[in-house]
Amino acid sequence: MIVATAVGVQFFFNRHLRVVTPGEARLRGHGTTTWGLRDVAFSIGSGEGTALIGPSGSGKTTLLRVLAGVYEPDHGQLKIRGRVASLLSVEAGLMSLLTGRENALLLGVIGGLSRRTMVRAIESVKGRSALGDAFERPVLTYSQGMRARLGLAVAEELEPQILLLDEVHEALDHEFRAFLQDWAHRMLARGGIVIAAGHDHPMLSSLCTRAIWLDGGSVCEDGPFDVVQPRYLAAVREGASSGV
Amino acid sequence: MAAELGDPCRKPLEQSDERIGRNRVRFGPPFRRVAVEVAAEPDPRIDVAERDAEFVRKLDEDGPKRRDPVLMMVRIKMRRVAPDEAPEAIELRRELGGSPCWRSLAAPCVLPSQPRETRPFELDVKPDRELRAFASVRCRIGSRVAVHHQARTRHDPALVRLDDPAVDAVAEPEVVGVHDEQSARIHVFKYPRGSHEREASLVAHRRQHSLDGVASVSPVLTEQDRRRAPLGTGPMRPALEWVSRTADLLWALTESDLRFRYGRGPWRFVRWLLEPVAIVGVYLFLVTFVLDKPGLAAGLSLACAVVPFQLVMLTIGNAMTALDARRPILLNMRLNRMLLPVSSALTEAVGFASSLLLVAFMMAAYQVAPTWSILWFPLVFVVNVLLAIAAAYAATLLGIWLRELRAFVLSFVRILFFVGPGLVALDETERGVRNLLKLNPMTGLFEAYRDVFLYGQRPAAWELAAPLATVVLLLAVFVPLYRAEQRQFAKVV
Repeated sequence: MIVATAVGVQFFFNRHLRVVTPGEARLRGHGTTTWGLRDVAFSIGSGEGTALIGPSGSGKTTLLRVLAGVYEPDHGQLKIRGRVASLLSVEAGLMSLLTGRENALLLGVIGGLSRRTMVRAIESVKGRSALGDAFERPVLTYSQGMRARLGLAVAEELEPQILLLDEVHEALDHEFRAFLQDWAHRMLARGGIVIAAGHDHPMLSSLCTRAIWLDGGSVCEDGPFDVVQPRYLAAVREGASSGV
Repeated sequence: MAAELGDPCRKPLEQSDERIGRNRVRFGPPFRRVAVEVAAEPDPRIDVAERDAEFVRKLDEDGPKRRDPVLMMVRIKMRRVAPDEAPEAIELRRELGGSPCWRSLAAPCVLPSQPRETRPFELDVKPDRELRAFASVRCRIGSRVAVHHQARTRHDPALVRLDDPAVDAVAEPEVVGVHDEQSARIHVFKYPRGSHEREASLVAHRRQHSLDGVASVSPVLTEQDRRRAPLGTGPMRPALEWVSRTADLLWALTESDLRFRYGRGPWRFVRWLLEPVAIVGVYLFLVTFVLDKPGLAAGLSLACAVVPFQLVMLTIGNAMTALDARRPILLNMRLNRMLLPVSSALTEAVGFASSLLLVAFMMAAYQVAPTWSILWFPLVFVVNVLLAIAAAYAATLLGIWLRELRAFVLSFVRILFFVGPGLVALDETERGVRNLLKLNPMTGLFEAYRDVFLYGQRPAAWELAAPLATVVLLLAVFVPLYRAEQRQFAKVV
């Protein structure tokens, strides 16, 4: 279960327009601030697949990062029940100089598994990622799809109840897309939650029955995917035709 | 789901003397007709459950003669069983004799000749219990009680009533899921030692419990998450869990950092050794030939200053770039960021262990035999690592506050080596400046290393107290700042 109440995320900029922490902003004098998210409120229940749609810069990634615990809300309240696994970039949290095996071990432990458990599970991660010998090579040599597959395999090992996807699925090949869809559907059937953001709407529609349309860091519309998505596309076309 | 009961079997339930008690659960014959509530706007992609007409017709024909198994979700409330109620449980399997579905559950003691009992019988369900375990709950007011698996006996009723509709009438109802939690000790009793099932059960149990760490990072924990615990029972359990989880995380972070910064294989140790050797070599040349102040065992004296200083210096350098190095992780998943400076210090401590070979080599070269004072080294080492950790918290913050001044910060720290007894021992400095040099926290550390390895004596109290005071000061100032700022780290990396 996820309940967000008036969630806001603020960014501080210094005079050189670089994002800084509030402490640095105070240390170096006043800069500017902007809200990445503002007054975002929604509730997602068990077994609900939700798509975050909207133009680039609308706050989809920021919202997913808040849900993943990467950002902490500067305003409002967020309640999350359940284990969270997140794939919020094509890097999927992988350190480029480490091998696939080393990355899997690190991410598994950070994700909450004990080191001993993860060491035992590493072969199954290798099998699920279907990386073969590349599993022992530095991630630096991986393609985006290979990184996404490794991140997905580690995420599955964590057995999450809440899965957050940010355009990662768009880097996957057809085989792993099917795998991801199957996994997501199994999660939803078990009462899990899948939240996916991206611009591949056919893929999103296969994972999600609900859509939250974000724009300018706020929720424009929240409802069934089949209803919200056409309205969003219509708004996009209208904006394009009017030259906005 | 609503259940429509139109069966003769319902009648016994409606009898006043058979009413289900508030604190008990009765197993009765399954209800025959189950109505399915269909959504107002059905989703074509989801298979909607449909009533099986043939099945219902057979039920009507067969009437009460048949008992077909029906899967249904039940809510089980558990409570302690009083000693005088225990015999009721023994009668359970005998009661189940007539029903095929129950017979499969109670096969070992089925008595086929027993007449079928149509009256719903009752059984108090008692879960697996943690034996010999006591725990006090943080919020419980003034008492320790036995840990009772599943039951809320560990919880303070004053707090439970706030979210329990059975206790508090104004609380919102809660959907109770299927209970699939395994007892913490079930694998001990259920399967024989050495069996595959026991091993699988243990692995599943550890795996299930090791996921606590993930749950604990969520802002709100489920009741089930709170109950899962990997390490024993009792009041120390949360502390043990935290220690285990932190140790695993630190190990993983340090291991990955070592590989990230220093690569793999045995050449890492050579690299860790080469740097202090090169520094000591240069300074030895400077002291011996340029300044002409060799002093007592100049090489060993220099090594006793260079080695501990390298640990602090490299830790500060590591901590200033720790966030950049872990950027992919920071942007992708939640991480206990308070551990990052500690991990930086531990990474460099591994290199430090390698550079200790230099001290051993110098002792051999200057024919300085180790004495019993070397037993003080672990304490000196701990102080050294603590100083490195405290400096790492400050360095991490300065690394993001003063990005363009990182090189300057490192140069400033390097000054501490030269405004202390780094090149020459404290005894060989001018008497007038000795007290001033003691203000440098590194002075005590350098002299403590010399006492242990060079002079063969116990370190003076001030030599350890001065760095420790610096540790306390740094932690008191920078840890609260770090704690406040780490919330924003993902935004600035």
